[in-house]
Amino acid sequence: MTVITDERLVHEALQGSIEAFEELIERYQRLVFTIAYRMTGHREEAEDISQEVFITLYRKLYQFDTSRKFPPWLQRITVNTCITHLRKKNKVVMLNFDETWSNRNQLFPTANYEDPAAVYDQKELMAEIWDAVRQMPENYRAMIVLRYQLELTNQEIADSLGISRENVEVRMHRARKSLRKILLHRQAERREQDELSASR
Amino acid sequence: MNCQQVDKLLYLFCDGLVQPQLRQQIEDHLQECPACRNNLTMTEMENEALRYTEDIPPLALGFSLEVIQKINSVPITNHHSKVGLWSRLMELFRLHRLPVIASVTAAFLLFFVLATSNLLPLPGSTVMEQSARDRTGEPNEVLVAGINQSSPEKEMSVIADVGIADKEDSDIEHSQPTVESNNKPASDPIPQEEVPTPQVEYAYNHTETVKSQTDYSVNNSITAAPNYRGTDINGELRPDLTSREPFIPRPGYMPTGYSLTRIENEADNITTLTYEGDGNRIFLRIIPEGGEKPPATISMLSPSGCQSDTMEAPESAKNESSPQPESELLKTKAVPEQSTRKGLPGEITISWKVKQHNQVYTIQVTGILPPTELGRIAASFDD
Repeated sequence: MTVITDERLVHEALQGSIEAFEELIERYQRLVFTIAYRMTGHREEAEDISQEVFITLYRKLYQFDTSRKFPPWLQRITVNTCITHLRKKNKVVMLNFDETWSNRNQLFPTANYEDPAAVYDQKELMAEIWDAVRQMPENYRAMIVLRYQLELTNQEIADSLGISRENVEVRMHRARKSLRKILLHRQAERREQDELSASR
Repeated sequence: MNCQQVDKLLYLFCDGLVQPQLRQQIEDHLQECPACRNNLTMTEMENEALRYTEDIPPLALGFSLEVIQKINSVPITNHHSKVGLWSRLMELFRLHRLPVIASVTAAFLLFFVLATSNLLPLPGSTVMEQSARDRTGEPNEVLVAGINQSSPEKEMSVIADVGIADKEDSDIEHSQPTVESNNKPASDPIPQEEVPTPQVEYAYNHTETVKSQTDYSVNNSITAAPNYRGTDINGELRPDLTSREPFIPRPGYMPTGYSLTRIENEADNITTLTYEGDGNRIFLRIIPEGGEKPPATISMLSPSGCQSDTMEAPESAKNESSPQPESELLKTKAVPEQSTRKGLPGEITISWKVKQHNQVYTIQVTGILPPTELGRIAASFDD
């Protein structure tokens, strides 16, 4: 049984085949939804974004270079749609990606690691970490989602976002550091609250 | 290697992305440094959480269908849409365009005169179609099962079959429409030998049934199939079924808000169930691949992805040596079809395949409904 390639489906969709486009949706709806869900943390919002992604994809299909791979292109559209949506929603005053955030991180005290088993209950860990991820800037969030949820390599992330592999490595390192800072900060806040409640 | 260098490489180290030589150096450092070991443990825990995907909810059923519907409903934008209305009006009345406007106006007037004087029939407006509108009291464009009403031959065959049924069952006589054809004289009777005599038995409210067939233009292969059998859900008016037992669905398969009003067993062992509720009507068809006879019961796994079958085997199956029916959801596909008239919602079919006892069945749910509603109904066929 021969499997029709994505690029072939794009070609057929451009010729007017709605079935071909539907097949593309069937193939990639889960991937798109995963990115959107992890970026937003809300199911309904993620579904709306996923729909928007495929409508955008349909409109921009003629821009696709069929000599290249389809998934990175779709991932880029998805990430951009998510970031646009989040910025609109939160009216975030964006910080410079590479400088401001990393400089701001330097204001935090350097890592004062405790035994993680004492800090986190295993069951709480997932929710705690993904809450922390959603406190990160959208660009870092996207890096984390592509790397760990979709299991992409740094080169694949570079292809998806249109940046160099070295740049991905640097940004990924910063994303991980910022995640750790947020986790430690939340941990310190929780400890303070516990101490306050204990003293009362 | 110091702590700062290790820290930079730690997440790559966890993912096995560092060179073997570097890896050895990191491992050596970790053996000596408890803080970095702690950091490693924390990084591994984070990685595990970041890779966790099982809490991601499933997408709504019929997602792709909804996207396709939205794509179809969104107008194609072009550069004109960005130009203001006033500018477009001004552009329209520019002097150099006046001859073009005059020509178009003249053509329109000519067309109007011809149309009103019956010299130029409007497309699709046949005498039969007009007759159909007269007898139903509403436009006949709503298609449920995909009949192309514009074909006079096909329409004639539908009417001919209903006419034969009329002959056999006098109960429905008063509801039979009198149809005149443009192609044949009205007094010309339909030759009996040209049409196979169907054994039609209307069991569920005969008059209603025939009227609804006229209204909804139900697929004529169902209504006029020679081996047609009909039965009431309660079995009270069950006809003498000599060929085989009809398919009776489990009550649990009823979609919420709908009730089963009709069961039809067509030729080729295709079964059609009609559900009505909320002013809507949906059809569920069970099509065995290869035309094999379906069993008395079948698990109609919903397209949401149910893999197991919990229903009990029928008595006849229990007597056999075969174990519990093993059903398997094979494939789900939502097929939107274009509306016949602009602005009306189109017919939508959600279909999926089920495998039971090595026999594959296609289950189709059809209705003129919003895709989300039809998706909800299709999902409710799951137990």
